[in-house]
Amino acid sequence: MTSRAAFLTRSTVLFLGLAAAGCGLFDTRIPDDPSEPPPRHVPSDPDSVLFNFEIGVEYRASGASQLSETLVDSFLMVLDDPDANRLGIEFVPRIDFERANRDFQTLRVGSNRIRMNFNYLPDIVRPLITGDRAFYDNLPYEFVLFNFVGTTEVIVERIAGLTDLTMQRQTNWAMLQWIDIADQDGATETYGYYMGFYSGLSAPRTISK
Amino acid sequence: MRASRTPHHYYAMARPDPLFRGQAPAWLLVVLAIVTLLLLLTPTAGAQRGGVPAAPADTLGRPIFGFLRPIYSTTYSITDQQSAWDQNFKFENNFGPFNLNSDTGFLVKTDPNRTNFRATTGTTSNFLRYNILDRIPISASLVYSRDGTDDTNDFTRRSTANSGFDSSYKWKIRRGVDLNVQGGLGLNSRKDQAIYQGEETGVREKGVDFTTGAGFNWNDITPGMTAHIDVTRNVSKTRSKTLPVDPEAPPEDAKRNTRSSLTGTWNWAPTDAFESSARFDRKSLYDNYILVSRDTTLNGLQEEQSNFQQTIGFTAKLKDPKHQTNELSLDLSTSDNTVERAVERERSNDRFSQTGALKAGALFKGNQIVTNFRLQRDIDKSPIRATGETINRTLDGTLSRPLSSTITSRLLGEVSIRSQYFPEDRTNDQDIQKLRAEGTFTWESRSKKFGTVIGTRANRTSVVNIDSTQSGSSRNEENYGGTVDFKWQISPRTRLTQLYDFRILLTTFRFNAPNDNLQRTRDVRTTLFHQVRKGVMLDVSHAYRYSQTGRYGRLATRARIFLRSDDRYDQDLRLGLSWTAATWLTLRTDEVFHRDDSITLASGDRRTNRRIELNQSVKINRPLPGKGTFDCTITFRTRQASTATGEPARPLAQPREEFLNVNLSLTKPF
Repeated sequence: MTSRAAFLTRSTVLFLGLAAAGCGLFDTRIPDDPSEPPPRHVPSDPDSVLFNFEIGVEYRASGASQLSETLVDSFLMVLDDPDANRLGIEFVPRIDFERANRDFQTLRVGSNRIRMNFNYLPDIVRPLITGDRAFYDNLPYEFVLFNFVGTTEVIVERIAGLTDLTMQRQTNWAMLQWIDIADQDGATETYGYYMGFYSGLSAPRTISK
Repeated sequence: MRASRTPHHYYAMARPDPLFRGQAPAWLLVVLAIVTLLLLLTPTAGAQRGGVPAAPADTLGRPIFGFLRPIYSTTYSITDQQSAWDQNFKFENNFGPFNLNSDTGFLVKTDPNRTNFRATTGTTSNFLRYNILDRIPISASLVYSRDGTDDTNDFTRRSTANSGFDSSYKWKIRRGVDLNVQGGLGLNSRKDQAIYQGEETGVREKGVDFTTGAGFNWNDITPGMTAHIDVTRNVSKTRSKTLPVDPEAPPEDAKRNTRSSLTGTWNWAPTDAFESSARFDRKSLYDNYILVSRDTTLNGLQEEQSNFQQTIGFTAKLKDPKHQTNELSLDLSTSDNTVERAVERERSNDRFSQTGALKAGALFKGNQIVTNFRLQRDIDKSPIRATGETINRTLDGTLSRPLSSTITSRLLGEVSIRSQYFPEDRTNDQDIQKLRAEGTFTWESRSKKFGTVIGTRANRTSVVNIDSTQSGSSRNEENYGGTVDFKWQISPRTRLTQLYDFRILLTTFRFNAPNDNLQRTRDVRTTLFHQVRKGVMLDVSHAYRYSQTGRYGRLATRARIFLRSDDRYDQDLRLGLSWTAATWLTLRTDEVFHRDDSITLASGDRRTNRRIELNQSVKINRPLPGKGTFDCTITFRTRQASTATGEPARPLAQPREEFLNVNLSLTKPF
């Protein structure tokens, strides 16, 4: 390297160091004063993550951040085979999942209410914890979209399925992989289907040659 | 547990395939008959046949199918009661002017844990190519593929046939410059049939497609500079017929699919100290097809989809040929991906991304410094959702320095921010700022007998939700910790490692101080490896973790106090013994003892989980006589767990679980 190039390299190193020091490039914005936050459990065990996810779904827009906290950065939702075939995609990464969940809330749930539960069946599925991983085998879940006519609850749609759910402990516990399984009678679709549908991911269907 | 996802090519020959009953084997026979007939009629083929190297001998020392060289492979697996049997038969050969590829497969999956679940999938794909003339580069091809699935609720069939002519020619215009042109014509047909919960849908298509393309190469435009451009365009016209779920839907539909691509690269490396390159990739695609959907309002509708993808990039690097560690590089790129759909508009989107990265590395007075700065801006738009913009900025740097011949040090710092903006509706506006600092010192004795790594770390993540509906969740997560990792090679056959880790995770809420909490965790992990005798390895590992959780309250004096509320202990002991009895045979046994205790301090409630696991496995990896391999892994796992709660503790045994996992794999060329 010429002496000019060496000077340029060292100057760049110095410049980048100074940039970090104080030009405000990495400052955060000032948040608004909050309304009532949703209930939250400290995610120090896998069941608390399930609780926070349920609340994150039910509180919709105001629960989005809480739902986001339940996912590790490399979170992946794996769709069931029939859903994957219909949509032309097999996986939904975290960034697309969060976006899909926002669209699901806005476009599918719409003006209805929603409640979400894991482990709603009498046989409770417990996690198998090994080191920094926890695994729920065939964990049942359901999303119920409902409304009230007078005081009577009317179910608009029931979305249900099973998940082979893996969690990872980094600092707190959070979901690492959700393998979606369609196995519930009486459900219109699985949650995985809607996450794939609203993710914006797609593959063209054409005659292959 | 769900059966693991497997590739979509499953093969069947040994077992009759109900999906292809009467049809796929017939197609296969037709292809084989054509090949045989053409071989007999083409003198070149006969001459070539003599020139083909002898096929590998079978177990009896004879070639079975001569020139065809088929390969059969099968796998069978049982994982926690789910079984999957996958069979695969393929053959490929060039003989005279012919090139033949054939894949056929069949898969059966069962899972007694899922009600009435049985899924079968079959595929066959046959490709025959014929070079019409030696001197004129025109070739003909025939491709037939078919697949289908049978699930509890789903039934699908799909068959595709393509045939066509294509040609390509390359001109050398002058030294270093050449031009390649290509063209093709194809005839296509496709048939889809799907039944879901008794409801049948189907699509039949017939069509024609035209392909044109050109490529241009220019080497040594100036010394060290090259350029390459490729352009292709494919237009297909198809007439499609769908089952009229909606009586008013047109029974037949004319379709036109167009796809084109343009790619180009430019490279310039005038000296060893500088190199640069630019790249351009643009693809566009227009498709329309019949929707097959469970939603009856969509089923049978004609979907129109257009897809546009473009990436442009530029890279420049300045480096020191004498010292590889000194370099300065710049990378700039943009990408655009747009999908528009007429019916399923929710699946439309437009994503645009710009990225810039600057990397500098320098050796300065014995310190190796590497600094990276990355900036990325993503814009996400669609007709039905609010536009979102995300900006990521990351700056990181590492400093490495050998302190002596046996000690090295490494310092790392990183700062990043991810800002998410939704200009039309700021409900989901969010900033995530991360700060990270780590220091590591590594020492290894000259004899390599002892070694240790001492590390400290401090991380802080600030999640700032801007809008009032979510700002209550704004929080700081701080993580401080230290690690000491020892390695001791006690003897050539015995090694001991031990790790101590201590960390504190502190979560404080910006507007919700009563939720502030703290976790303290200590880990001790010990592992011993010992070679008992040749081929016999013993490993023993023990892991201990103690976590304390509780509120991190603030007193009236503004001092902080840790109000410990929950304790948890985790212990794992694993004993493993493996014996490599032969080069192709390994036996292994593992015993695992686990115990965890969760204690709520206020009430004194304690929950204790215990688990004992015994795993035994046999692994065989054996080449077959002639060619081919046989692999087999059988694992038997039994697990007994119990849970004890209350005071005095009342243990409750859970049912014993036993799992047999089998993986058999056979590949045999004939």
